[in-house]
Amino acid sequence: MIILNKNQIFNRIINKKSDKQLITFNKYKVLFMLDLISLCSDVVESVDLQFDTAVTEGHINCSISVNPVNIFYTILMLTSSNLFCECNLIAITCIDNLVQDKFIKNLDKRFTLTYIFLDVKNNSRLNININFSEGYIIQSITSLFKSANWLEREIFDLFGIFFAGHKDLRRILTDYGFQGNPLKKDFPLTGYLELRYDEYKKYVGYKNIDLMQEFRVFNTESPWEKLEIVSFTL
Amino acid sequence: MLKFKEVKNFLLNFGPQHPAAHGVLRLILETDGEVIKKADSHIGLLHRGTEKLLENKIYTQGLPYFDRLDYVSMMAQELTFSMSIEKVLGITIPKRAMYLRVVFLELTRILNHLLALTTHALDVGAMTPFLWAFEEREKLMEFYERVSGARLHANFIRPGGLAWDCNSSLLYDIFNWLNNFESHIFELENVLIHNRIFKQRLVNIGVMPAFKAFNWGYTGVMLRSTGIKWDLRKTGFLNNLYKDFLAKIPIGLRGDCYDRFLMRIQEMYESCFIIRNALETLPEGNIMSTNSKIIVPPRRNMRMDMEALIHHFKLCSEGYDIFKGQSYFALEAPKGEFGVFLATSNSNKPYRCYIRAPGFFHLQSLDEMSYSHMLADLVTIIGTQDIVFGEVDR
Repeated sequence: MIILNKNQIFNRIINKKSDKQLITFNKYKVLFMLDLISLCSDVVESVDLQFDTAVTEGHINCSISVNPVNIFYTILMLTSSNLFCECNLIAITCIDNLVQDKFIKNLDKRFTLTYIFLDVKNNSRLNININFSEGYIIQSITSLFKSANWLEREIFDLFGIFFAGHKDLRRILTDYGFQGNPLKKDFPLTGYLELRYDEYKKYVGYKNIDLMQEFRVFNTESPWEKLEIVSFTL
Repeated sequence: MLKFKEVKNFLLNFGPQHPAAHGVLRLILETDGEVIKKADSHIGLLHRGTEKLLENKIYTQGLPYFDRLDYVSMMAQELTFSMSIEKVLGITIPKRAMYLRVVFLELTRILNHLLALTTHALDVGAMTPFLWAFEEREKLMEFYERVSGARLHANFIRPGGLAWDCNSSLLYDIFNWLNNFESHIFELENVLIHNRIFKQRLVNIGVMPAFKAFNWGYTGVMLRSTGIKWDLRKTGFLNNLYKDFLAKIPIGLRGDCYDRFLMRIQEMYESCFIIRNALETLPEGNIMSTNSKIIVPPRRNMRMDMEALIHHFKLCSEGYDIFKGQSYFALEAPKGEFGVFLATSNSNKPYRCYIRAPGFFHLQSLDEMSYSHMLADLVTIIGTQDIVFGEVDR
C-alpha cells in the first residue's frame, strides 16, 4: 500500500522550502526515483525522498519502508528493472529497537533491517527498511546479491536473525562456539565469558567473567537542549 | 582391467599466522593438487566489537576507535565518522579545515597504497620496494606525528573541524617532500612494472568482470579496475571540494591484479597532484566550526573564563545529544567506500553505528576470485585486495 502517489510526492518535493533549484537540476533523477517507487508501489508501505542539500550535484536518497513479507520480491523487482541495473548492495544493517524509546519496549517491531543500495549509473542511493519482531524469519537475498552472503551471516551472528534460503548461515565475526548475539541491546557490554590462562591447568580457556568492579554508566538526563538534526543523508 | 583410483580434494589450512595472510586471515582451502577449488575464509580473529563499544561511548570518545579499524588509513575513517556527525547536525566547516582534511586524506591514501603495493610485491617475491616504501611511510608518519602527536592513531579530524592547526613549516615540509616523493614512486614503478617475474605473477590473475564486481559489492580500486568510473571523490559528498583538485581517475581495463597494481601507482601520482593543489590554494582562517554546541572552547579561554571551563567539562564528559534519526555517510577511503551508518536516539551516544568496511566485501569474493587458480596465486589475490583485518573484523 503506497501512501502517496507520484504527483503527490513530486508536489511535496517541489514545495519543500529552498530546494527548488536543486530539484530542477536533479529533475531526471527525481523522475527516476519516482519510477522506481511506482514500480514497486504494490508492496511499499511508506516513502521518504530526501535530497542532499549541501551538495548540488550529489545524490538522491530515497528511503522506503516495506512489509517484511515482501522484501525479497521488492529487491528482485528493483534489480531486474532497467532502473536499477547497475546496482550495488552497499550494506545490510540491523537496529535492535529494544530500548529505542525509554521505558517502552518495542517488542512487536524489535528489529529494523535496512538494505542500502547504490546505483552507480544514476548516483542515487536507496534504503529499504523492514520492521519485524524477534523470531521472524527473513528471506535471504543471497540469490540476488552475492555480497549479501557475509552481510546476512554477520546479522545472524550479531543479532540472531535467521535468513531463509541462505546456504551457509554460520557465525562469522565471533569466536568458534560463541553463544549469544552481541549487538542485541540485552547483551551486556562486557559479555559473559572471558578468555584467561589457567595457571594450574596450564591452558587458555573461557571462564565466567570476573570483574573487579561493576561496569558503570553515568548517563544522566542532560539539562542542555538537544541538537536538532538539520539534514539527513541516507 | 582398468582400475580407477579415487582422488579426493585436499583440505589445507592457511593461516591465521602466515606472512601472506596480511594479519589474521584463516582460510580452509580445498585443493585439487595445487589448484584451488574452494577457499572458505574464516574471519573474526581480530573482532573487537567496535560497533558495540561505540554504542556505549559518547560521540567524541567514539572517534579514536575509527583510527584502529583500518590501521593503515587512519584519517580516512576519522573523516568519515566526523563528517557523518557533521552531516547529521548540519554543521558547516571552515574552508581551511576542509582543505587540510583533503591534504591529510590524500597523505593517508599514499600511506595506504605504499603499504598495499609493496607488501603485495613482497608476497610475490620482490623485497626491495618494500624497504623503499617504508622509508617514505616513515616520513609520512612523521607528518602525522607533527600534526597530531601520534604516528598512527592520530585522532586529528574531529567533528566540527580539526584538533589543531598546521603551522607553516609543516606545510612547507609536506610540499618539499612531495617533490622528492614523485621520483620515489617512479623508482618503485620502474623496478616492478616491467619486471618479468612480477608480470608473470600478476597479469591475468584474479580477473573479475564488471557485472560480477557489482554483485560482490566492490568499491574503490577494485571496482575501478573492472572499467567502471566510480569514485566517491567525484560523485560523493566531497565532490564540490575535489572538483578543483582531482584531474583524472585511473581506470583498469581487464580487472586483473596487474591493473590494480598500476592503478594504485597512478592514484599515488594523483594524490600528490591533489595535495600540491590544495596546499597552494590553502586559505587562511579558522580550523574549527564556530558552533559552540559541539565544539570545545579554545584552551586559552579556559584558563581565564569559568564558563568556558564548565563548557569544556560538560562537552567532554556528557557530550552532546542528537535527536532520533538515521543516516548513512560514505567517503572514498583508500580501499573503497568506507561508510558509517548512524542511528541516533535522543541521547549522547550513537544508538547503532554500523561500519561499512570495503575490505569485508572484497574478501568475501576471494572464493570466486581464486577459483581454479594455483595456490601461489592466492597470495597474489589476497595482496591485491588490500585486506586489513582491523576493518574486516571490526
